[in-house]
Amino acid sequence: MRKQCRILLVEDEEQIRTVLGEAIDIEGYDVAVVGTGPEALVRADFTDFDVLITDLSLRGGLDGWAVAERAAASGLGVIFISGDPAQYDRLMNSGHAWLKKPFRLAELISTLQIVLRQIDAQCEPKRAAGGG
Amino acid sequence: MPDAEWFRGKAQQCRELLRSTTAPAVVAQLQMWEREFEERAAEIELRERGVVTLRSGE
Repeated sequence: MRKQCRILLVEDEEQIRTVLGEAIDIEGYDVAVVGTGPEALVRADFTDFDVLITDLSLRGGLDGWAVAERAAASGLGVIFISGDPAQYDRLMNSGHAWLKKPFRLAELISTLQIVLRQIDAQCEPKRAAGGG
Repeated sequence: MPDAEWFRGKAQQCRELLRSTTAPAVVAQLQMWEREFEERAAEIELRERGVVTLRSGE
């Protein structure tokens, strides 16, 4: 039996973080949510996760690029989210998946499924038994 | 799979969160998700109504 996919979400806007974390969770993923880059590095042993979803601009002195570099080195799939047009060229050439803010949740979940397949993650989403 | 009520609740949560921010990027994102949650709720309700209609026509 495959383990449940674990997602690390790094987003500094509290309102976005709140909704996004729950929306990923309800799709059956085990999601840990943090608000800053340093928090992600301190709290997360990246080997515990399958995919990193990170905003690019983060408070706390460490941006999404730096967090993603560490995560990718540990074998995680990476999804960037950004609303900064100045970053779009770099994102397109990053080799990682990315979403332009604002984005639909369905778009994020589709991207997540694609990234999990790309990294051949040995995990699956697990929805709560008897839900709906 | 969550039911329509769950999605309606999330749409309401987005509306409440919108009152706590004026940042344009956050507002745009929450407005999009509010619409998306309402759409998902409506889809589920339509599907459920369709099932009820089919059953009542049996």
